[in-house]
Amino acid sequence: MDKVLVFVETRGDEPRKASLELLCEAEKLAASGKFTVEAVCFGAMSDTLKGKLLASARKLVRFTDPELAAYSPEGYARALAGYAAETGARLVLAGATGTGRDFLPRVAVMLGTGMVSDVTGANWFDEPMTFVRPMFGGKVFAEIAAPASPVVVTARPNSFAMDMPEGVSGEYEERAAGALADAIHTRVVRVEETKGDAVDLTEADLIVAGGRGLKAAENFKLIEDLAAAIGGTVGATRSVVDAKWRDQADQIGKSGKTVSPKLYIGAGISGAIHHIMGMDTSKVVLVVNRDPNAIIFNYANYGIVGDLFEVLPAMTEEIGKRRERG
Amino acid sequence: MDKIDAIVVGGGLAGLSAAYRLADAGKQVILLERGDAPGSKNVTGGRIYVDPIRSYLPGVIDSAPFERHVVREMITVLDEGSALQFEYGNEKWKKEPFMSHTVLRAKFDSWLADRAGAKGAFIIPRKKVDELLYEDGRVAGIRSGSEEIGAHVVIAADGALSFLAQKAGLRQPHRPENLAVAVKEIYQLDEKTIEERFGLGPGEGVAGLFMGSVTRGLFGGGFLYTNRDTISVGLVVGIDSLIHGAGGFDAPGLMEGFTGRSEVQRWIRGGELREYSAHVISEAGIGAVPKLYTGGMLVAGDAAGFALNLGLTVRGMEFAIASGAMAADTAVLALDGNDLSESSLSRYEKRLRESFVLPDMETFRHSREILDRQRFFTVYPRFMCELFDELFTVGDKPKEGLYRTARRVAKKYVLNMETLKDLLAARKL
Amino acid sequence: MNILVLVKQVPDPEALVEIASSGKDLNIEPKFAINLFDEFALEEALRVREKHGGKVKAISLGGSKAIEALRTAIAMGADEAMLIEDEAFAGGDGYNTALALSKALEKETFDIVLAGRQAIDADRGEVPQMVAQFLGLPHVGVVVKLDISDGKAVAESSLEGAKEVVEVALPAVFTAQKGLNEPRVPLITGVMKAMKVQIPKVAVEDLGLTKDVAAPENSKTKIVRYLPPKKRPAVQLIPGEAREAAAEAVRILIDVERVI
Ligand SMILES: Cc1cc2nc3c(=O)[nH]c(=O)nc-3n(C[C@H](O)[C@H](O)[C@H](O)COP(=O)(O)OP(=O)(O)OC[C@H]3O[C@@H](n4cnc5c(N)ncnc54)[C@H](O)[C@@H]3O)c2cc1C
Ligand SMILES: Cc1cc2nc3c(=O)[nH]c(=O)nc-3n(C[C@H](O)[C@H](O)[C@H](O)COP(=O)(O)OP(=O)(O)OC[C@H]3O[C@@H](n4cnc5c(N)ncnc54)[C@H](O)[C@@H]3O)c2cc1C
Ligand SMILES: Nc1ncnc2c1ncn2[C@@H]1O[C@H](COP(=O)(O)O)[C@@H](O)[C@H]1O
Repeated sequence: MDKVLVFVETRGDEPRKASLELLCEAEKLAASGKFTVEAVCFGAMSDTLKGKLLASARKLVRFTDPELAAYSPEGYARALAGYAAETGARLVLAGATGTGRDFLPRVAVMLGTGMVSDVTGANWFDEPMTFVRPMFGGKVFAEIAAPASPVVVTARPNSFAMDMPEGVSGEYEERAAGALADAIHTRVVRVEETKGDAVDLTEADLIVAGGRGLKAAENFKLIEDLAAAIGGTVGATRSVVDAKWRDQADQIGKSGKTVSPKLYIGAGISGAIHHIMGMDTSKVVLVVNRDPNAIIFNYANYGIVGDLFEVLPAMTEEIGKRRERG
Repeated sequence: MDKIDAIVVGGGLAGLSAAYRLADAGKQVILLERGDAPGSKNVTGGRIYVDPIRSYLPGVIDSAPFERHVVREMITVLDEGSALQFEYGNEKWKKEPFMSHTVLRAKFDSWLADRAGAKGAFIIPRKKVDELLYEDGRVAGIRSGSEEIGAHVVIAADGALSFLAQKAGLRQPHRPENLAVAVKEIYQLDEKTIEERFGLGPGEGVAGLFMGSVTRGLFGGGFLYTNRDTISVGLVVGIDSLIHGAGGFDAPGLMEGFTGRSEVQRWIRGGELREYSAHVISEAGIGAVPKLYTGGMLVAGDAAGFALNLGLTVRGMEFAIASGAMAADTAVLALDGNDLSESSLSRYEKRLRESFVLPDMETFRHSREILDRQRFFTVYPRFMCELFDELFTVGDKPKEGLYRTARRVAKKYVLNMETLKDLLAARKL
Repeated sequence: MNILVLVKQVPDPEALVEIASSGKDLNIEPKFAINLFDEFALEEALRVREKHGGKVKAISLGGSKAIEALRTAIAMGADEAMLIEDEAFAGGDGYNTALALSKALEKETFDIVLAGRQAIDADRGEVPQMVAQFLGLPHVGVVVKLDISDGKAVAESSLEGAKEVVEVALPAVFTAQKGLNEPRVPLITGVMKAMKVQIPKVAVEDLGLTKDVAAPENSKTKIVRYLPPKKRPAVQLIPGEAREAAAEAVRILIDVERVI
């Protein structure tokens, strides 16, 4: 049987969504009988977190080295690659989050193998395995074969269904990678939490994005209110970021983040291709623009031709009403 | 000041052909273009005649990335709800050497830029020229942003609104009535579909013209050119008629009206909109050609007013290429003779007179006045459409004979003094 | 301070990209540009040099056309450039690209390697980290601020929403993210210099690699075919006054699409 390692990223007591999605996908692989799956995790682990993970992974291995308490590409890569080599893994999986995309390439080199980044689909049972990933900002997709073994893969958040398996209660193991101190040459001086505990855009299920049509920084309140009403995350166009109305971290598009939510609501956004490239894999797209010729309508499922200053508050209010009614 | 041989301002066809010829003659030349790349800001309907320019770009023009060779002219006369269409084709046009081709400027200009680059010209995009520099009362270089670059000669090929010619005191500011606005869209369709839809063989193309009531009661002209796997469609409307016509100028709205007409839809249906652009055209004809040279400077292409709006067609590309080349050749001689004075550069105008450029401009001296006769865009199209309407409509009333119908409709529109005047005016063409 | 910048030539962000009828190739409009993120890397390298002295060298791996990206680098102010010329790398996988680049880097003396966060053609974001690993160097990814002093760097990385300030001893590899700086537009004189300069080319064999290292049969991963993105159905416009349309939109999202 082939071994699959899933790197699980955590934040506080929560596994990251991208990791959970992969665990769910991996459970299907385990259920097929062709693969055995282990979830690999670094750093502190509360009982709550452990409980959550053991409900979706048949085996959870945590590396306890103190050097892994904070993220370092070298430390993480060495621990994960070392374990993959030791267990003869056939597949090393991680979410294509900032962290995943940052250190998995090092893992691939350590293992002397190929990597496929940011995949949105996979044929795990093909020989060799094949993957689908967007290129050119989603203008085309490529099907990639990975004949080398193991294969190192990062998967784009929201690409695999989160069907939580039932009746799984995995075993738990703690290990130490050892000898990490000398391998790590970066030191985290401080972390500025800019985002509180809001879901990061790249993983968000629901996004409300605003563009220059909002006219001023303070009007982003309309976007924030609607986002709050649906439990979504706020995104922005580059013009808005360049105008310093929003932080760079909010920028969606070619030179910002690529998002793939279930729902993208965009208001006051013209639909420049650079922006579209960051959001075109969203499942449902609803846009509000007062210009009926705005290009963004070409990339939307639903459109409202109207003034966002009227439409957004009305939507927020309507959602409130619907919620009250249950 | 340190000086290079020549600076060309503007990466359109005029500037590129000038840079090509200067570099070909071994001169050190830089071309500055404010857009992201040569061709990126240039708009053309899309048809170029090859014969007039072959001698200016010897050996290269035949390898240019043309789209399709034109084998058929298609003319559509539009009235509000009706249209009359006729075509002219000639088997001769299907055989090489082809007379004219459709082109897409982004491709064509970047090709010419590559050729000029290969000859050793420095083509530098994203550089807007802000000022001319003078030395001893002569143009001696340019300023772009914080940089001043000296040159023995500057060729201004900066397009229809050329402010360099104005800066150098060679011409007055433009008057709005001398300008037309053009809007253009490019639709993508696959090669086969285009050939089937227009009934064309491989590589063959159509040049289409629309005249009359192009959109929302606004009069002007429209064009359509088939490219390899795209179709260019656009509108040219005089700024005058915009002011008196449709109220607030709204180019996308006008285009929507035009491309929404079934006579246009039938060709572009199913195509994906790939590009949208708007541009001005100088319509003034030879009357607005400025002084073409001064000490250390020459003006070429649209900047020199070398474009003809003949109502149905706009011709400017051949003028641009030819005048750019002649400006360069003049400059080369002047550089070799180490004389960049005004009188030395005056040889440019002589060359232009001996070529097709100034004579053609002269021939069509009056085209602008004629275009001013609104009736060409209003009354005659309506007359033609109504005539056919009457001929083809069968109602519950008895029909008159052919002759009587024609006479009655003609009387309504064209059997009058106005038409006679128009005819007299048209004789000047 | 010797700074190496990894520069990739990519199709212009606006270039049309289409799948060839075979499905195995792409037809890309031949408009090229220096990779967006590599411009930030270059700009940062120039700024570090302006502050601390030293040299900036731009290195690219690609076909002969990639020389243009290096000319742009020189025009912006890089002191030197080098092209590792091998057409096969245009479609080569990240591993082999990084391997070849790391072999080239081994022959250089440097304190800092700057690269882009991601190349906007293949959108992989793998190569710089792999280069770092091949060379046994640390890296800091997605950097939006970089301070160099006393043989070490303090870099602000925005990997996730949060900003992390990381300290690292040099030599090290950094990947540049938008926000790091505003790349300069080359001066005319810079461009003229760049057009004249002779940029040395080396072949992968000169780096001690076999000739066909980037050929598909020698790659760890390979592209089997290209697929078009899923087409969204034509937009459904929701009619009515703002309030009505808003209410209808909410109804659709809740009852029809069931996304909220
Ligand atoms: C290399 C490069 C990379 C880029 N990367 C990115 C990127 O990553 N992300 C990105 O977003 N952009 C990016 N851009 C910029 C991009 O090209 C556009 O300039 C930008 O996306 C436009 O932002 P916008 O839609 O907010 O503004 P605009 O284009 O100004 O659009 C504003 C829209 O608001 C509408 N509007 C105005 N008032 C109202 C109202 N009251 N009600 C409703 N609608 C209204 C208008 O009709 C208009 O359509 C990049 C550009 C380049 C060249
Ligand atoms: C809609 C339309 C349809 C047409 N159809 C046809 C046709 O079918 N056939 C035909 O022969 N002609 C046609 N023409 C005319 C033809 O396009 C022009 O005559 C021709 O492009 C002129 O070339 P040019 O090089 O003089 O100017 P342009 O092509 O306008 O080039 C001028 C260049 O200078 C640059 N520039 C301007 N100012 C500066 C500055 N300060 N610094 C640096 N760069 C600067 C501009 O960015 C531009 O690239 C058409 C024109 C239009 C608008
Ligand atoms: N062929 C190449 N030549 C030079 N640098 C490269 C090349 N490929 C990738 N890089 C560098 O690595 C960065 C990330 O590229 P990628 O991993 O391909 O997304 C780029 O921004 C470049 O700085």
